[in-house]
Amino acid sequence: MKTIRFYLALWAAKLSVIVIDLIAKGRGTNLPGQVALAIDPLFVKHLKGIDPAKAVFVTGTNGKSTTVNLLHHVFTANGRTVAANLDGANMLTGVATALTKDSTLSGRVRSEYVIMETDERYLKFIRRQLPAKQLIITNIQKDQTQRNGEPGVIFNKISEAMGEDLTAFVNQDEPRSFALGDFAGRTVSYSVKENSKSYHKEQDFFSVTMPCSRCHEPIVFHAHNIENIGPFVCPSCGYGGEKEADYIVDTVDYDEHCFTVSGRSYPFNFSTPYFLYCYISVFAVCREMGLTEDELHKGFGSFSDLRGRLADKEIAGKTLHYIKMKQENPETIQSSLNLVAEDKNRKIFLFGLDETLDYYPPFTNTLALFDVDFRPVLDSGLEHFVCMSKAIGRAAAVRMMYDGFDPSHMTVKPSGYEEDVVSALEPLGDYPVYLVEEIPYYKKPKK
Amino acid sequence: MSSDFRIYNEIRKNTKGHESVLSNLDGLGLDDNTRALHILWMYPDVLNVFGGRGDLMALMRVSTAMGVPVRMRRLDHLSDEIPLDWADLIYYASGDLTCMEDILRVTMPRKDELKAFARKGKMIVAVSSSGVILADRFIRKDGTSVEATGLLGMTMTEREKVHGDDLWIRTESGMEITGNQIQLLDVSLSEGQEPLGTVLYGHGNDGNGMEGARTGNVIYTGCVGPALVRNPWFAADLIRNAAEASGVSPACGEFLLPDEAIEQELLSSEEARAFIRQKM
Repeated sequence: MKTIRFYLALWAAKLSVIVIDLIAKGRGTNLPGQVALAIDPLFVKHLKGIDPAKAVFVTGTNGKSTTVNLLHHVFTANGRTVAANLDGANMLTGVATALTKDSTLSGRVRSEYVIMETDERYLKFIRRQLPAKQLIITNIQKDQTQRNGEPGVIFNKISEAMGEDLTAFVNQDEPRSFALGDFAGRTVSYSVKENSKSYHKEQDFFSVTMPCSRCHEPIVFHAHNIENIGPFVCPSCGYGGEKEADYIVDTVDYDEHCFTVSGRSYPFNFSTPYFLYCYISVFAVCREMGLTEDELHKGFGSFSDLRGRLADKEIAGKTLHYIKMKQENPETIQSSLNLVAEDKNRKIFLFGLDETLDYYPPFTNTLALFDVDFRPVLDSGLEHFVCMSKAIGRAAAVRMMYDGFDPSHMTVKPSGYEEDVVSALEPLGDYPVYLVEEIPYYKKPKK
Repeated sequence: MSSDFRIYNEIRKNTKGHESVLSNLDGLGLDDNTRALHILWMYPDVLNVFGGRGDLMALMRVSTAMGVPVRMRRLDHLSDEIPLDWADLIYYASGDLTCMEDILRVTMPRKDELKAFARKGKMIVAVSSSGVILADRFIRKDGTSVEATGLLGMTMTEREKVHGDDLWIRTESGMEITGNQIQLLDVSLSEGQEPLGTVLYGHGNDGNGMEGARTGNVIYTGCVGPALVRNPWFAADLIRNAAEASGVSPACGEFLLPDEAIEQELLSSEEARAFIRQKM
């Protein structure tokens, strides 16, 4: 009976893949898996041919998709076969879909390796059916409060999914990811040394860091390679400073597009430090799974970004530098603000924080605003700022006033629709324009 | 720029590092010996979710706009002695639930002193999950029950799922407060324990129409946003009550927060209410 149910699930899922491909090729990243799991709730477990030692899960707040894509690229560029959910469908249904597509009609997964992005909250349920023995934990940060609440909730959910059978690849520069190593049978750590794009935060009375994951006293960062990620130590219990990581980016040359690990240089086709953590975690996994340094070099050299966060657009006779962010994630907002602040010219700054539509019900989420620091933008030279939102435009403006922004150089618009952006920009002089927002409303016509 | 934001920003700019006491006495043109309201910011790095530091920024900005002299200090480490003799207002911003048992471990030995502090009319405020510190007890998902200070008659029980939404309440004095609520703990008030307010929109303590808890000047609210930034009149109310209990007077003699000083916040609040009304 179990076998019949499994085959029915498999064939129904495969049929739905074919139908979806006919209707909308490239879509259907979850539906076939939903069909399969509706018929056989243990569908993934019943698939054949998966070696858990050759299965890698990638979880964490930021960097999952890039890491999975890079890992997939390095393996396939070197002749390995890989089943992966490259499109970011990271719950059990997405994993089931990716494996359905990779399997034979008898339910045998064709590829030698399985590499899957896994949602932090669903990792436990996915591992119950597919007990991957390799887990990359990118970072655990504030994000999607309506679902996740606090970072501690996510920390607990990931730890519940871990066990003695697992090798955890943990980010030694991110306190929560590193602490999750305590829950694995084996831990491999990775880190990035301080480099030319690292920074030290201005310390004033209102500066805050984070609690130590072990003793809950304050953590001290020696530097930030990206926001809240960098070499750190807990002065109270010594956590974080005990030993060097197993795999380390020693140096990086952003102009020459390369970084070094243990004295050897590798290609790096990016200019932002964020990607270094994806690279070094992939480096660690690949080396531990038997790939050579030459194979890594080859894979890194031919990898390029799949979904850029930066774009330039022409609007109201001005070049608008558009930076995407995850507006519920203070670290990505801060990274976006830091990018704006790299331009030391007087500039116009548009900020498109809006009500949160991620989950039900939508709400006037202003929680991340005080977790970030707008002063780098102000200090880099600001001519005018524009806040765009009907629900929380004024709230964003108030936040900036708390960081010293002058309201006489402020405009609040009810949306980021193109006509509102144009009307905000037209009276302003010829300055560089930066837009930081999640949803590109500005290019949509007003309804 | 409105003058109180200017003064607030100058005050902030002139402090470096965590060791200093932040004070608005210079900004208000007051003598160093002036009796100021002493605000103690509890564990800023540890209780650090939902932009909680914004509440402390708001207390400084609003007190400055009201002409109320304030000195603010951080208590950085759990191992630091709580300076109860110095403080007039103790503020626990929202924090991660995982830290609460360690905070209770260092707080429980001072429980009786905290109760004596509250009996003097001094103010203690805790926000969101940090309300656990003021509760009778705190019950984890696994059923573990942890005794807390009992400054407020309430039990907080960890929820299976996070509840996140807007929150709009009206306090007994008629003040309306809007913000966000990210609820990891349902709150059950003991018989006789007064809530902070009634819910106009949102979940509140446990969906029963009440929000927060208040006994004298000891207050818990689940409203974040940060609530004092989004509702400076709430900050003004806390400042006035704490100042009166501590014998602190505003420079002008009256506890007034002029509308022109909070023009942007009034507009912001109206924006939020309009959005929430669509869901009601």
